Amino acid sequence: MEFEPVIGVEIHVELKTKSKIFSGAPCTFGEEPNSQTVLFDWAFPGTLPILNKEAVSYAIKICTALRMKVDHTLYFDRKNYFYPDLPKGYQITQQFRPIGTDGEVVLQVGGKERRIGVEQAHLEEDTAKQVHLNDISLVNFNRCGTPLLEIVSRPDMRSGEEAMKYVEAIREIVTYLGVSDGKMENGSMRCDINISLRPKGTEKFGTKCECKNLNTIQNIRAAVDYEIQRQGRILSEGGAVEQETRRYDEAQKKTVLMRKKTDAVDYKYFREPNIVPIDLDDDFVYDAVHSMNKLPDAYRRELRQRGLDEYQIEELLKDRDFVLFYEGCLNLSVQSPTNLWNLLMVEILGYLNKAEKKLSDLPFTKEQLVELSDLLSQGKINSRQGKEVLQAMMEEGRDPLQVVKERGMEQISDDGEVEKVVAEVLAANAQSVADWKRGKDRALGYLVGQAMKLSKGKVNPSLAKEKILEKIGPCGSER
Amino acid sequence: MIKVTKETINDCARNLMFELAPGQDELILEDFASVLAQIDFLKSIPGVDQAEPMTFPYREHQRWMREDKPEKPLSSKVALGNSKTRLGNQVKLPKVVGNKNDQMDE
Repeated sequence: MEFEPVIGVEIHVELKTKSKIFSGAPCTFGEEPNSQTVLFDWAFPGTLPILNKEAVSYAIKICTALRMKVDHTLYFDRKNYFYPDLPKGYQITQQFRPIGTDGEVVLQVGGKERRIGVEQAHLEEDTAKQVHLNDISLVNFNRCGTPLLEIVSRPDMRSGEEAMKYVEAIREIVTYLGVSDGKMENGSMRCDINISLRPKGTEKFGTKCECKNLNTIQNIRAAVDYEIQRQGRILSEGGAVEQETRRYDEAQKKTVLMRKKTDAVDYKYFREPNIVPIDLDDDFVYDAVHSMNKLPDAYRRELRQRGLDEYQIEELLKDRDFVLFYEGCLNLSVQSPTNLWNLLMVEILGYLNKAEKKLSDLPFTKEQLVELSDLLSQGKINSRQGKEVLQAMMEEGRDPLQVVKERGMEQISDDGEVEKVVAEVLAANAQSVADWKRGKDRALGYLVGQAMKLSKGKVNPSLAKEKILEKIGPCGSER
Repeated sequence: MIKVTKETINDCARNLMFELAPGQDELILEDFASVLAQIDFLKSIPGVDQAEPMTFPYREHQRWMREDKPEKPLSSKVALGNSKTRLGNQVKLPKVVGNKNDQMDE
């Protein structure tokens, strides 16, 4: 029997606010344990939750980017449970009225468009971080109360690749919006994936397993693919999949059992009585939506129009800082977006990685990079010289035009001057010209090389080649 | 309405991973009896089944939200003042999940 995987993803996105969602404690990462809390985070009697405006604004931006309906009245609920990661004994969440509903993410999978439904997005508080050792658990409450937006997909995905691309798309959106770090390895974006199989062509869902501990995008694909195989094997052998929580073990490259789900946990949800429903002003929602950063898909469309190919676009989009820098250069009317891309994504990126520097550390301006790119596009310097100039710009903060002038690099692109050089080369290399006419095509490269040598590398090589061909005619003309 | 019996109490305790001492289930059952009696009393009020549950006494909303300005946090020394068991600056607890040999984050 052929089975169809059914996959749904829940993503917790930590919002990058300065303070926590319901208290004024700072939101930080990597500080001394238990040094970033206020009394509310420890559930001291008499302390009350007060909603952070910025967290709501960030949530509205994400919901809008995911094409969701945004609820203009906020309600919060209590999820009651007894565990050391929340001293109150409950988590404040939005069980019954999520801030966002009914959205979608559009993916490109195998050259086809796939629309993945997003059921809801709700605001809630993060819990304390626990580390479980052999006999003890250690609790650090710094994270407790950090704003989270939980984004719940519909069970619309059918493969590990789709699940991976969905998470990647959400990560891209939240990082481009500037509302989250989206760093899975730091836990600022965490996902749980529900996977089940059903006979192909049927509607009823099979028994699902929840997969946790997926801290890289690649692990999502690996975990889902493994789980599809594992469940498929069980069902093909006539067995039944048990409802379980599993985690991905990176070393073993497989999912392993964490716990079986025998009884559904009853969290006794009820409306949070300490937060009166909050009506969002239209102006507040308008401002949140209209202050959104440009989204990756908008950049994709623009960059395609500028003539970049899909590989170039995706490489550039990996880092928003590079996109902004590139966009800034484009706005200065660079002549060749492709030359600019090569300088930025090959030469400059390589240099920054090697030197362990950031884009903001570069000691030259966008205008200067555009000048260099245009010198290359106009054929005034060749690519080897371009690299040399860029090196001086990156290491010494030099101006490209000055470097070119000082080092006598400017290429000869004047027709008359190039023709003079070519005439001299042809006169001195009659044998190579004869070889060309007898059909030896390598002779052309030699002649261009001689023109470069004679001009000390200054003659524009493509113009020299053009002029040589004008004089010597097609290859093998006297065969 | 579920009938609360000793079995119900023991099932709940097991699900919550509590160990009950002998006789504690009966004590809890007695407490439940008074709670259930109170509920029966409330149900006997005429028309109560028509009333919508209310969280807030008035159907009023508000518009105010806090600005995103962090305040000075407690020092870890003050924050951990009520914690009887610590390791460094962390609260130390008996292990509450997982297998004995696991090392994992949650």
